Amino acid sequence: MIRGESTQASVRRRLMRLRLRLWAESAGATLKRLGRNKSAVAGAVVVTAIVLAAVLAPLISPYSPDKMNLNDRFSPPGGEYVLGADHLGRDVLTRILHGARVSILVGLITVAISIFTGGVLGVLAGYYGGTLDTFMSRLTEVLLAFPYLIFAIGAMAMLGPGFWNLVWALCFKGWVEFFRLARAGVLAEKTKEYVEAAKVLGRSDLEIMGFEILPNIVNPLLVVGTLRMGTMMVMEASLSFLGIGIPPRIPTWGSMIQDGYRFILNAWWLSTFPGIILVALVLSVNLVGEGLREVLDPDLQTF
Amino acid sequence: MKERTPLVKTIGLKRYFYSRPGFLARCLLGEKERTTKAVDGVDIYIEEGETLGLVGESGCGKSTLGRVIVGLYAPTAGQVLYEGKTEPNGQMIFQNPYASLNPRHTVRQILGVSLEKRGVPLEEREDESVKLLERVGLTPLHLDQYPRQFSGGQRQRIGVARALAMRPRLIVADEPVSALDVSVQAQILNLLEGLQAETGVSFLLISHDLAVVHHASHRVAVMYLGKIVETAPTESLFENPSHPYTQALLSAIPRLGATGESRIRLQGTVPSAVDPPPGCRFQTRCAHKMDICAEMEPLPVEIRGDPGHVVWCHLRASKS
Amino acid sequence: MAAPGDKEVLSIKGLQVCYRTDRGPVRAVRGVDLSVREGEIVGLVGESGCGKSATLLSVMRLLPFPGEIVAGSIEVDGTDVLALNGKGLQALRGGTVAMVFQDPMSTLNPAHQIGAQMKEALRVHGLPSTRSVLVDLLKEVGIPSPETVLGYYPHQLSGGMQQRVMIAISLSCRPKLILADEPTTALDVTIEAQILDLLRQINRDRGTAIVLVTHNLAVASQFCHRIAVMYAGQIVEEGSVKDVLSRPLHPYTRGLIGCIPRFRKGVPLTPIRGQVADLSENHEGCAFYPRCDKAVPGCLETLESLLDAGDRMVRCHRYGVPEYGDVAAAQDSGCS
Repeated sequence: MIRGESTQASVRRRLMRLRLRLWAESAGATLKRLGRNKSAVAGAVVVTAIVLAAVLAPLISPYSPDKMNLNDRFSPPGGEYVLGADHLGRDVLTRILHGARVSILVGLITVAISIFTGGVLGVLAGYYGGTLDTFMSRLTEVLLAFPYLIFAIGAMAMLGPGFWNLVWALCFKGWVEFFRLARAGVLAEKTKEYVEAAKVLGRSDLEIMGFEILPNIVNPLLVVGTLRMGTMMVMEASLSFLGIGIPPRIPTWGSMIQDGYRFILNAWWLSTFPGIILVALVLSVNLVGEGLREVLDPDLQTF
Repeated sequence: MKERTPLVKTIGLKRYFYSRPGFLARCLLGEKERTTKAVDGVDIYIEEGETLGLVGESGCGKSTLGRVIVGLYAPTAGQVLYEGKTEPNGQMIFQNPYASLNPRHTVRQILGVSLEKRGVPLEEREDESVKLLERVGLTPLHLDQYPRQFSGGQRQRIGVARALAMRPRLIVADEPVSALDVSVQAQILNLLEGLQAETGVSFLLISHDLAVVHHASHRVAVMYLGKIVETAPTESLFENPSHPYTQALLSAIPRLGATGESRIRLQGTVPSAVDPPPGCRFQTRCAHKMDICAEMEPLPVEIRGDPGHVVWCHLRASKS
Repeated sequence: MAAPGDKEVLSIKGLQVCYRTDRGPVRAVRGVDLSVREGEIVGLVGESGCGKSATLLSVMRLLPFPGEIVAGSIEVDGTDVLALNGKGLQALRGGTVAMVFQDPMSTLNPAHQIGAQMKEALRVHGLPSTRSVLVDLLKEVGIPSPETVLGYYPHQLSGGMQQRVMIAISLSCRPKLILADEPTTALDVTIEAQILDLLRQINRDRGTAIVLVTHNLAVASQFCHRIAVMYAGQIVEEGSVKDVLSRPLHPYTRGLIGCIPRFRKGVPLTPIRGQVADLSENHEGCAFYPRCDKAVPGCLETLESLLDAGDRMVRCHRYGVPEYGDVAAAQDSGCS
């Protein structure tokens, strides 16, 4: 009897080990496939570097972002200030590092809220259809009729500058795309036989939406989410550039470009460096997104 | 008439689908609401441990009928009775082994859902899953693999295991082998046969392949445009087909070794189940059409000397 | 059925097709020889992935990327197909050789009327495309009221009618050879019978040779003069329909026949064990080895060439070994 149990336990252990190995192999395979995509790897490296720099900004930046040194106004890059100093004698590098925090936070938070709201509404509308679906779809069509930037400018004009106001203004329309993606995904999936099978087994609507359908539509949402993170960063920069985004005392790339814009002929470095880093981050995020799309798309996936 | 209650019985079962064209289509193109009578008054029964073959061409409503029986669709009218009760109590095996398993779930998760719904405690599910896999000819090594790692035949085995996990009395198998390679088809058919011998489960085998139905069924029902036109024990139906549609269908099957020159040719194609003709549904393609066929729907007639062989045809009614 | 003539319409020799995928080469066709004579109907039979469709597409030079013909020769009516390009290919496709596909709905353009699509096919090959020509073609394939059908869009026709239109288009250039890739698989049995009748009638009336690719042995048995059974990119047995199906010699052919329900009660199905061979693997010897009941270790060492078995060709090491014949005799009444 004891012997029998121990054999059973050992079989179980062996199975467990095997399972772990299989899991590790499949996770490893996913990473390997991502790793084969050179541009995605390059993008990931740049994103990681910028995120790290942003997180560690207070520790690694040579100055305080607000510290003015009027004697050093318009110091060119290369000297005491690696990327130069601005019209108030503040260190450009320091301000870029601190500005990265705003850009990255805006990107992450707006996309997270948009994916969640759009995803949940889209799944519900797609699964149940009917009046809810018709109403939501018309609403999104109305929202899509406005250009994004104009819409955000209007919203910011009403709400006033501020970090959270900016986030709300961007999310107000940001969810629409995810709604449509999720809804289309559900419409395609819900007629498939595995959903019928789940119904026959007696799974509830909530279980079917959450456990059966969602895992199959979540990848495109994540991929587009990554790509949109770049868009959101540009939107933040645009709004800050227009002076209606983040309050001026917080350094952001958008407001830095705006400030330097007036002196572009005499001190090119004020606008150029934040511009380059903005382009680099957005581009890298997009490269990672594209790489993810290739790896996560089940149609392209073969074993 | 049967004395004891059959395992499953349908009474006047109907399922209609309504399509409502959009506002513009209605106003500008004058399109009307349409009713597709996919299942239009079906009375069938399935005995314990029996396989009832349901044959018909595409669009005849056989898949819809199967789905109403397992409760995927609510009937528009009529009832499905499981041993006299109305709660659906059947499982289903699907046609497409690629779409019927969730691509994001491992075999363990897929079987786990069934076992959870049956109320098997968490710690027993692994052992139970292994037993199920072994029963359908797979091994415990397959437990943590994803559907894409399996061939079509293996996927269909997983689908069978998932249905089996619920210990159902009835399994509706909707074209279970038509997407599989010939050599694999036979494996699955033998598997289903073995399961029936072992557990006494009943099957409703839906198929367009008459050879498969002949091989695997005890009784056969032939469906045309939402209605059953003939039902009989398998041998009797294939030896003595009595409805003109059944006769044409049987003679159209390509058979190994036959020449295929002496067949009844059906004219035209299957009419749509949207607004089917009044009277007998088959009249538009029938070679023996009479006046009465356009006027009233035929009533069931039992063939004399052939118990259980029932045909819905005016021609037969006038003969007997 | 029309008696086949002597002239060779299609001659395939040593054809090898390879798909160069990311995960390594998939050798879809591994040395196929096939000859089709005038007026002959030849069936290529096998399961999915056996290379039957790839063989057919090679004849049209229509292999999809990353498929590639790596060796062999293909001659249609004396012309070397592999040497053709541009204009020559255009004259071949839909000219000398016509192709009928499985799914007519996706081969007809849903945005154009039937008449326009037929006209286009004729125009490409520089043939007159007057209305009466089109009507005659549709009449020939048994379409009722052809005048009306010319103005229809594909979705207004049933699957069977669409397939008839496809056949009409393929007939328009009076091809010498029709390649039919599972032409009835998507259709209901009663419609399947109609389409097969139509193809048979074309073969009889015009003497057009037909190569039918199908997974359905029963369809092949009723429709073809000769069949070639394919497995893992090779022909394993080839001969007249009657000989091959009533007295199969190759274990795979026998296995296939044992898998088909036969309208006889109490005859159990005897499935072939295991799965269809994976062509991305390298098969040194016989690819059927892991599924074969008659295999001996020698089967794995070298690949048998096609052996002449009198009335047919068969590719099996065990053919000619004494007990093999006994097994064949036991299976003799295989099907009839």
